[in-house]
Amino acid sequence: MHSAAQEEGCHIFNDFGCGFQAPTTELFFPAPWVEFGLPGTSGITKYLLVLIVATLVSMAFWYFTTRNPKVVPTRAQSVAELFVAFVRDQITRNTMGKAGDKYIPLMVTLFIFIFTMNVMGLIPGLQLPVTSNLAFPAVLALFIYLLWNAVGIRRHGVGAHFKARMVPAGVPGYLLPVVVPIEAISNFVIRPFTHAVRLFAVMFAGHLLLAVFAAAGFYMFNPMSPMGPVLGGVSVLYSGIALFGFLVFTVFELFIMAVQAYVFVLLASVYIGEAMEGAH
Amino acid sequence: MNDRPGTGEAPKSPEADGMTLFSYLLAGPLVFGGAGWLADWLLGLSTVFLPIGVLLGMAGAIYLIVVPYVRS
Repeated sequence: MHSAAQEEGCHIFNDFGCGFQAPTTELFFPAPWVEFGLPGTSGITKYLLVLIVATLVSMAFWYFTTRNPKVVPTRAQSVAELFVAFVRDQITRNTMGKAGDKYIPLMVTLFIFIFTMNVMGLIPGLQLPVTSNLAFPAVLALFIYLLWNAVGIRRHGVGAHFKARMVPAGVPGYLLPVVVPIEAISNFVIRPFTHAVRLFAVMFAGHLLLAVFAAAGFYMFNPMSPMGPVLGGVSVLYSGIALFGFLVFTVFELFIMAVQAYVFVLLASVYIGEAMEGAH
Repeated sequence: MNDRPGTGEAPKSPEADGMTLFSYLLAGPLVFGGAGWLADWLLGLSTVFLPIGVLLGMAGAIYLIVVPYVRS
C-alpha cells in the first residue's frame, strides 16, 4: 500500500510543515507496464498480474484437493467437498431446487474465483483486489446475464421468457402500463448493473479504507520527533491505534470478501432460478 | 414467487430480496421520471411531467414490492 505520505517521509510532529495526505483512488489506477496505445485499453497493469495469480491459485486449489478423490475423503478433499456442499445446500437448492444441481460446478467455481480475486487485496506484495476494478465484476455479471436469458429462452421460448420477466402475475390490466416498464428496466437493465457494481463498490471501498489506516499508521509514527520525546511517545501511541484499527479491519475485510463472493453467486443463482421457473 | 421447482415454499434469501426491492425503487422513478422529462422537453415545459413521472414510478415500484406480500 503506497501513499504520498510514505514517499515523502512525511510524519506527524515534524518541523517542516507537511500534513497527512490520504491515499487517493490512484491506488486503483496502477501505471501500466506495457501500453498498446489503443483507445479504451489500459495496457498491461498490476491488475492483469494479480488476476493471473488469482486464477492460478483457484486452479491449484481444485487440482490439489481433487486430483486423487477417495470415498473416504482426505483432509484436502473434505475442504473442497465442504465448499460444494455449502454452495449446494445454501445457494442452488434454495434458489433452483434439485434442477439446479447441474449449476453447482459453475457456482462453486465462481465462488472460489471471486473469493480468490477479493483476497488478493490482503496478500502482501500484491495488495490489490482484482474486483476493485469495475471491468472484472462487469464481465462476470454480463456472463450471468447472458446465461439466465439463454436458460429462460431455451426452457420457455423467447416470448414466454420475456413475458415472465416483464409482466408480473396477478396485476390488474389497467396497471400494466405502469408496472411493465418498471419490471422490464428493473430486470434487464438495473439488475445486471447492480450485480456488478455491488461487488466492485464494496471491494473498492474496503481496500481504500485499509489503505487509509495503513497510511495513517505510517504517518503518525515519529518517535524521533524534533518536538521532543513526549510527543514522540504520543506519536507511537497514535500509530499503535491506527495499526490496531488496520488489523481489526483486515479481519473484517476478509469476512466481507467471503460475503461478497457468496452474495454474487447467490444472486447469479437466483436469476438463473427465476429464468428456469418462468412465469411467477 | 414462492414456489420454486422442487423446494416447495423455500424462502429466497434476504440479500436477493433486498436487491430486487432496490432495483424496483431505482427503475420506477427512472423510467417514468425519464418519460416525464422527455414529455416536458417535447412540449417545451419545465418540470411539469417530471415530478409527476417520478411519483408515478415510485408508486408503481412500491406497488410491485407490496403486491407479492399481500397475495401470499
